[in-house]
Amino acid sequence: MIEYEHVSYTANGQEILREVTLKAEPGECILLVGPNGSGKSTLLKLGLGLLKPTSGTVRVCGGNPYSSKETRRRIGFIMDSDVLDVLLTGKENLGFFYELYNGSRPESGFINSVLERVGLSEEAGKKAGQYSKGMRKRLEIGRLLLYHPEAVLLDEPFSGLDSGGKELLADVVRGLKNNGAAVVMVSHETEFALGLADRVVLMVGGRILAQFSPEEFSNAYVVSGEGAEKLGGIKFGPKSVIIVSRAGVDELISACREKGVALEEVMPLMKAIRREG
Amino acid sequence: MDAVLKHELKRIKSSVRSWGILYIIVAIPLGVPLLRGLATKSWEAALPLFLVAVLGPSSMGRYKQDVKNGLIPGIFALPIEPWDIVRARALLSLTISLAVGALNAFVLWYVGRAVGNGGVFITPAIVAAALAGGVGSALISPSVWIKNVGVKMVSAFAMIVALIGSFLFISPLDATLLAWAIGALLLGAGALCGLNLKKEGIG
Repeated sequence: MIEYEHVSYTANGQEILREVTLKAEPGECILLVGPNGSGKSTLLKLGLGLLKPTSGTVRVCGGNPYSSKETRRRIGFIMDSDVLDVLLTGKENLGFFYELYNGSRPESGFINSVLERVGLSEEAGKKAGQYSKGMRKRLEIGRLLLYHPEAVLLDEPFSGLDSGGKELLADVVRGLKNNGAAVVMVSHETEFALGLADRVVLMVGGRILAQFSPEEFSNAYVVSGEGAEKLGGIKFGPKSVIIVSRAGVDELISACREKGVALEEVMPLMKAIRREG
Repeated sequence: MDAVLKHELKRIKSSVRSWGILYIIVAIPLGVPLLRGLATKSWEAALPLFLVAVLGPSSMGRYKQDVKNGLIPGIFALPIEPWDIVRARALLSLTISLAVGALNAFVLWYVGRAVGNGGVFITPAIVAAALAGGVGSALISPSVWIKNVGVKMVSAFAMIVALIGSFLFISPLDATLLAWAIGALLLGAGALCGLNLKKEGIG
């Protein structure tokens, strides 16, 4: 389980997260979406123990990831920038990770089977520094296969992967979910990520603004216009927008006309998020 | 052997293949006292000074590379504590320092004997200073992970003094005192910063 309770995080006097409460149950996958600077990656880093919350509590698998390496031993992750040793070969990297997570040496042939699964058998003896971005990402997917993570945090895991790699990752994450892992993911590649998500959480300005089912999210629209705040609009990037389901768009447009809100754009929420970064 | 120690050992093996690291580990500690000995006809072992100087610069280079490649701070998302890395690097740095120091003393003794200018003086004080220097240089490794510029400046200054000192100090006693001072300085800075690594380096 991954739990954030009233978590705030401030860095250099700037409030990045404000009172965020979120819980991913075992076997559940939450997709975090939102424009750039909304605090999604910071939330993941707090879950990985890379940052300490200014206030509030972060618990992963019942423990504190910042202070306990035993807790981190139960977490799987892929970050936007890879955590690999470029001085070591792909095989050596996986061997090192295996020992870290399992506390023992892998059985003969196990690492080779993982390398084969992620499509890196032929490059196993090359240094990770010589790998392309996609190959490094595949090696990181391999790390998830070395043990049985109970919580998984993924930051833009699909970026840099070709379509085969994306399918491989989706397959691996689905397998982890089926084994009871709680997953929190940040991804702009919504077509792949939505297929894995059970819940979509929209973050804006360091706060959780709305939660959707994947279907609701796919059908959500944003209506932007000057004076949108009059109709309960929220700040989304540089604009004020109202989030509404596809069915409610016509009704909202009429309401905007009545209240004198000058409409600028109506577009799917997914597209608006992609545009804002 | 624990996983972090094995990992560090593999990194060293991989780095030694590159000429830059080889230069720092072998050429400086062997070449500088040899040149000084030939110039002054004096063959006092300067190993404590070199032990301090050897590993600091290589650690700094490696740190920059690790940051560039994203290993730092991401490595702390793995089940690794800063202390695991500090301990592994200290152990390996000390071992390498002492091995290079012994080689240094042997070469000086051999060349000194060949040119007929007497033996090398290795007193218990110098060996003790070598240990202090070795541990100091080992602990500088984690301290360079720190964002604190003041600590980096002090460390860099200590290493420069160690290198220049090896040319200027003839007396083993002076060399020992200097090595002790530098070793103690690096030891203190490294220990304080190393244990604070996570908080200061990635917080």
